Amino acid sequence: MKYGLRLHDDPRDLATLRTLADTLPTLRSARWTELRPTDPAVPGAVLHGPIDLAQAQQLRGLGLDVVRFTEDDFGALIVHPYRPDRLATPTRWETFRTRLAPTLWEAVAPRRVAGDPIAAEACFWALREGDGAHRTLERLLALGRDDARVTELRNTDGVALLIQVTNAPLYLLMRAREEPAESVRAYVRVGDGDLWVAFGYAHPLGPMASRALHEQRRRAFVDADGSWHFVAPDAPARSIYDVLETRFEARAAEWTHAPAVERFRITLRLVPAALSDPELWLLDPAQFLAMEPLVESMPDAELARFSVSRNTGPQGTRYVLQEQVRPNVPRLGLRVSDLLGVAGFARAPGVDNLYLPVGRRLVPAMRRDELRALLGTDRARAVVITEDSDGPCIVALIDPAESTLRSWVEYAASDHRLELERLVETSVFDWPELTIERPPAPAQSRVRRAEDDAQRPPRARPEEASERVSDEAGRVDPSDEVALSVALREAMRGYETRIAEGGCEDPAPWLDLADLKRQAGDPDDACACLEAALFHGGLSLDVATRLAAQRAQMHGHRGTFEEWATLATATKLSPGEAAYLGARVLEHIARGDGLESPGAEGWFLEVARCFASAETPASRRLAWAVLRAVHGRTRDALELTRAKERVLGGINDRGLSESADLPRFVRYALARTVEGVEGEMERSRAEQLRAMEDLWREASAAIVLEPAARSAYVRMAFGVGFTRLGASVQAREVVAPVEADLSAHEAPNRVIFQLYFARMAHEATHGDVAAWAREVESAIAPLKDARVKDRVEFLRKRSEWLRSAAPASAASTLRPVSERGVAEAEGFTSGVLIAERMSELLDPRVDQRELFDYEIAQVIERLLRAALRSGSDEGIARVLAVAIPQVTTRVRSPGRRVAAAGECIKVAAALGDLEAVDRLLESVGSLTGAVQTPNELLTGVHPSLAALRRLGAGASARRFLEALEPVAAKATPGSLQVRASLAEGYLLLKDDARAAALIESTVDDVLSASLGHVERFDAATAALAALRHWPMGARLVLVRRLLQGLDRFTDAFTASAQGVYETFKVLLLERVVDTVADDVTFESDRVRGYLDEDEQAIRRRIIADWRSACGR
Amino acid sequence: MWTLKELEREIDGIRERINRHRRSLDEYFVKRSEEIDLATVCACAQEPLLFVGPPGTAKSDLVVKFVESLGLGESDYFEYMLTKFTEPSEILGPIDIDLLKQGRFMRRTKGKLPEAKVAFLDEIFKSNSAILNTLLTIVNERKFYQDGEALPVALRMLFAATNDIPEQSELDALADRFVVKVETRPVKDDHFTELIDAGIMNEVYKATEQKPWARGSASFEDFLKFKRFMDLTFGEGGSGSADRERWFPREVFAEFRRVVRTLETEDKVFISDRKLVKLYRVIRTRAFLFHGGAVRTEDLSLLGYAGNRRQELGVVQDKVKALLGLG
Repeated sequence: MKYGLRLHDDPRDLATLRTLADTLPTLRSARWTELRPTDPAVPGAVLHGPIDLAQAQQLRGLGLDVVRFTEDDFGALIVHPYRPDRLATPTRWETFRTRLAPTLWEAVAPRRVAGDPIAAEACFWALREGDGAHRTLERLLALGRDDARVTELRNTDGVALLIQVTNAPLYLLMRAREEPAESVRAYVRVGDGDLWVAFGYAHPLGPMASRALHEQRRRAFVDADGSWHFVAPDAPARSIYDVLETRFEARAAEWTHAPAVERFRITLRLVPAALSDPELWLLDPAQFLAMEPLVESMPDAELARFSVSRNTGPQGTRYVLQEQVRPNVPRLGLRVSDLLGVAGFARAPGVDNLYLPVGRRLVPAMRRDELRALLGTDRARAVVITEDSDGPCIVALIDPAESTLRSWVEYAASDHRLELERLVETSVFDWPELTIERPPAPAQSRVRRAEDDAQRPPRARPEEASERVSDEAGRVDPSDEVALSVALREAMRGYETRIAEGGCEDPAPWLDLADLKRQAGDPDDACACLEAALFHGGLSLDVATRLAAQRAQMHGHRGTFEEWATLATATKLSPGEAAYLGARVLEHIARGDGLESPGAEGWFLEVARCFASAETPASRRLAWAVLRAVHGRTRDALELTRAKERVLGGINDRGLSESADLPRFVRYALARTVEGVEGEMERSRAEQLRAMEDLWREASAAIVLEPAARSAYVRMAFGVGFTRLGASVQAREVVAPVEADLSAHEAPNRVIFQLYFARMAHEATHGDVAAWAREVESAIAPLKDARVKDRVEFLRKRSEWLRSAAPASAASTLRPVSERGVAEAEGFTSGVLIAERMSELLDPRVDQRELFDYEIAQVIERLLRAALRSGSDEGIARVLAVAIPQVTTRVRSPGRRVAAAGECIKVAAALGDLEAVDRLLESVGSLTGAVQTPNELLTGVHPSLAALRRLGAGASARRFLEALEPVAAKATPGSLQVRASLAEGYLLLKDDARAAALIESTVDDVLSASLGHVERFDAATAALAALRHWPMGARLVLVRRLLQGLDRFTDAFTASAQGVYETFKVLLLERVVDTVADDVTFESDRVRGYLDEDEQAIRRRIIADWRSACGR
Repeated sequence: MWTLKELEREIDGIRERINRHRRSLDEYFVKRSEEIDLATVCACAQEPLLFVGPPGTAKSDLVVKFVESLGLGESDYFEYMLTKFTEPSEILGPIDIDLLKQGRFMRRTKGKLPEAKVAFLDEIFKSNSAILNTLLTIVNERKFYQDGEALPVALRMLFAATNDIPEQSELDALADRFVVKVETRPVKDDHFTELIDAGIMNEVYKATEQKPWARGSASFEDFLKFKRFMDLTFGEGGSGSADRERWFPREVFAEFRRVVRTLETEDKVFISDRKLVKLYRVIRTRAFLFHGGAVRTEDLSLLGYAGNRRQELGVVQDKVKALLGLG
């Protein structure tokens, strides 16, 4: 009877073996035998070792399944459970196999584990000669596992490869386990020891065995069936490549060196390349002089960055203008090229003094030293490769005498008055001992004087100026030209400031200023002053004669009676002709010349017709002076009344014109007095361009990762913006990628991009509305696919830039009876009749009709506009008097009432009726709590703001704005628009801090608040519209934020846009560009304010003249 | 409906026609045989196929030509580009206002997805959740709910395209329905000249309104019959194991298992239970279509399209080829 332990092939075995190993450690290295049934269906095994009875009892006491076994005569194994206390049923194994093992570990077979565990380290064992090793190595290489290490082992069976891999491919492990026919065995390392067990199996005593193997300095590999293979742990391992023999079946050929005997002739040529900023220009004298506008607008710091040299060669004199490029400083080259229309040259990469035409490069690429030798760059200061119809030409600038552009500037009186004044002011006040810098340049450097004097406007004679100014300055040395100029300027400055700040209805200052202007060589301003003097002071022979003479000299007229008579009957006059005609008529009437000549009466009637027309391009002052003189001559009160109404009607309808009614010096004076010189500069187009460049730099960096279509829209928007600012080279550069990939875009986008290109051309050529409409029509007409056409039209109708006509105003919804009455009244020229018609139409007693709110509002709105066109202040006042009570009593809907009140405010402001404006503002302000949505309020807010601009701040205006604040603070749709309008209003009231806080909070909320698609876009649009009234610096900060938040502007136009373009993003881009490159600038606000005040003064004068003439 | 006996007489002819359809379509594309093969196999198995790739890689052109060559009527094919703003009515049809007044929520499905036999949905993952849920039901259950009542849809072949597969869990369910996802890559770098030549010919066909690929090698009915035949043979032995033992040799099946386990374990490719079964079906379909018999190792190359994430697709495809020793 022998003792053993029963193994069950389940987790209990692990506990059994560990208990055995721990309890009887001496038996670990004893010889053991495993007896296992041959039939795999019978589970379990018996582990037999040198266990005696005492040990068996000890193990039994520990709960182990101890058995006794014997072999019967038939060779069957009888296994008795060892239970000393009772008999147990024996088990009979008919056949069994015996496996001897020198140690306990080896006696125990590994157990199958579930699944396919990941192996941190594994070995593949395969005979070298079989397919298995070859296939395993091949697959490892295919899987990129060339980190495998290979050990070659030899025994009696032959040479085997042991391929060791960390993180072994699961596929190979599984394949080795599942495809025994391939004769590859896979083993996984137990821990980090020297025991490796077949993949998918675990040894119950693995860790113990591993430690024991380590002590014995042996490495063991255990098969699934329990076979153990031992290997020396220090068997050398090699790279997988060391056991491979690679072959390449190819023929071999050998070549030997043969020295070259001939060289190839390659022609160097210029080919298109990416556009780069120019930094050098070769200019002929005319082109050089054309830089004047740029030089005048450039600050000193920028001017100093250009150097100039004058050179002569076979093609005559050429000026070499060069920009000194500095790191991290924005380049100026594009501005120069834009101005001159000359592309210029850029430095060739790798050769410091070689310049190539912009957008060209030399091919083929050559070594630098060869290129230097070929083009002679070593022998010259600079080499420029020019290109014309004869091909390239190498221009070597051997030793140019360079000086800064600053030293080529000669300051002189010019039309660019503000710049001149700034420079003179700097010279006088900063360096009292210095007058004006004159460069010690050689004679030929005075190009400006030598080549351009003939084109210069006549300059003031020093002796004449000294005569005039000496009375006021007294201390001025008559021989000191500069001092005289400064004194003259200061004298003019006094008058100009006075006029710009408060207007002037006294003719004397106008006459004095006219004299100074004439002395300063500014006949245009002088004439404007004389016209103002005639307007305010009445007809004077002396003034009229001076005006006529000045105009005749300016425009080259001879001054004959026939000449002005011809002009009087002309169908269309230019501004110069109209000004001359008016001046000459005034002179003749004052002089009494030719009044009795035949046909004179007819000519005067023609003149009156001409100047009564709002289409005549003359100032309203001159028009009224002429009409007053013509009709006053015959004391024709009726004609004078008609003339008054025509002039005032024109003013009501169109307002005063910046070009005809605003003397140029007033514009400069406004800029100077309000913002200072720097402020005026900031308003300049150059500043807008700089702002646009800033925005573009940021936008272009952001669009790199954008979808192609969106980045193309960004490019097109900026392309239009740059074009509008006159930077056509930059514009082309910005849109070049879109143009290049135009065909790659989908049909709707492609057509829209073509429209944007057309828009750029339109902006560049300042084309008219009709031309633009034709352009759009020609782009849209060929579209046959209705879906594509719909998508193009969808965006076009919403785009400020792409639509070909102004959005149609809402159609009349009046009932036929009212419609007929209003339409007839719109044709009336008498305000009184219009007022009567309004009373009739709105009187509920006439035909017992109950008018709806919207009908009342429409009647009032349309008839107020008709009244404005009539030009009769009395008539307008009558209409307004009828309208206001109707608005405040009959219109019950707050929204409609606000809208109608807004119309009344507009008319009252035009009439200068402050009291009515105040009353209406109060009325609108009181409705802020009653309107259903802030949007309704906006219909009244916008005309109110316009009125504020015209009439300036008042207590009621402030109260009005304050009443709007709670609405603007609400989180309801439209409130952000009200807030933007409010910000604009406070800016008009000169409360800059409050305005800034409001506009900033508007932009904050536009970008951060949870808003609907439309609401966010509308709010952003309102903010951008308000921002146009801000100085560029502050404006740019907020515009930039909106542009950065472009992603937030989503839309829901799914049915129409279908994701082809992002409607609100595209429209917002347009508004952003409009805000930076706009025509309505901060300066224009001041100018508008001046014109509004001036308009009131002109009205007063006209009405006063009319009353005086007609005895009213 | 056709019986197995009827189909057995025809199936060789059907196979021949579908394979001719596959090969002839390949003539009009450059290096798109992989995509065409997959489209054909998925159409036979009626499994949706997802094309993943940048714009301009012939995704929609391939589907359009595939469909045109089947000779379907205009209303049998539905194509739409989805955006996050696409509304269910654009896909499923507008709500019938007259019926709505009677208290019934019914859509007018004519010309829309529920009535189409073949559909191509571009930018499928850009649609919103309302559409995604409906698509899930249509793709998975082939049903469409009208006024609470589940109605069968006519859809038999679904192709979809996307530029990218978003990593959002709510889209996982739909992405998992696409058992096969194929990455379409630009071919211009390797096949510049052929691409220009083929492109020019395509322009000519378009300008002259010719559709030579629509030669009608195989009809839509052929595809339906093929699917029916496969369904009947799957259940022929009365158990799933019968099909496997007959058509999936043991060593190839073991290979199938090994590759799947490797992709799951080493490449973390998620293969759901549903997807595993569908992969089995698609592989069987490919094997029968391509060589009319048992599955071969090369048929397992379909596992290369089992990746889920955008970045997985190429890796998995290369890995499977390497494991199977196919290239």
